Amino acid sequence: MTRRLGLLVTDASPLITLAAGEALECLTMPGLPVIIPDMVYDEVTRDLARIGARAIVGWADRHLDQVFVRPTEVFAEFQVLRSLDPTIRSRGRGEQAALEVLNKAIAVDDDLEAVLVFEDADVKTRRFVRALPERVLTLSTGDLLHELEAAGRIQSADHILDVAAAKDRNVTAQRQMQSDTVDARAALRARLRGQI
Amino acid sequence: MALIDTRTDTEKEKLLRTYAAGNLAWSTLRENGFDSYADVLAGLGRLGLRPPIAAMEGPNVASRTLGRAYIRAALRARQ
Repeated sequence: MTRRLGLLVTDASPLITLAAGEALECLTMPGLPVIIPDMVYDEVTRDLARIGARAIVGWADRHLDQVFVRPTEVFAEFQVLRSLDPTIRSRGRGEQAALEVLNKAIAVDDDLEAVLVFEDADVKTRRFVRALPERVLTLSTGDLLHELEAAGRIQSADHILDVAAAKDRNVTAQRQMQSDTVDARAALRARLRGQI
Repeated sequence: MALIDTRTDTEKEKLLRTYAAGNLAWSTLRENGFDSYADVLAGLGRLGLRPPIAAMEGPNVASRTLGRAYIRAALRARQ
């Protein structure tokens, strides 16, 4: 019987987009295992103040039986490099880590099925996908959202992407409102003190 | 060694607009001063744009078509 690896997330962008779009559940809706290489997970959760980071941790915790973070040598090496140079960037290593996870799984079972999840603009242009084994398929964030929309599981793929893009604007506006409120309260306290 | 990003806001805006139109890869944005995809989303939001959804074209169409069929089958199996 063919073994299913599930959805293998190759980059931080699908996770960040879905988290910012408040739609991480879209990844777990098909009921397939979701595999996140440790390199990718570290990239999206390293700074919990960043958009979507806390949502991703919460989502992974809610789906312990479906979302799996897999260790890689790519990440182990990156940690060593980062300890030597804290400014080092992770660019491209997420995809390398995903391929490491895939290759290890194929080494155990070369008949295995897997779907690599890419960011949309990358899946359109990258050529290395041609070299993947026959049962290893590809999918973009948009492809997944379109299938969920067609199946009636979400109302609109475009709406999720609009929410994702507006997230930072809304967070900034909320922070500004909170800051304005604090300033207004301080000003009111100062005026009241002056009247006493 | 960390590189210093010397690109202007106008250059970054142009890159984001090209990306939103689906004519530039995220990996290319990374090579041009965008460290995190969260920065890309924030930039798109400021410009009133949304992340692109890739058209069904390019070298990976067959693989993506099968990937979508795989998701359809998985969703049907859950009903």
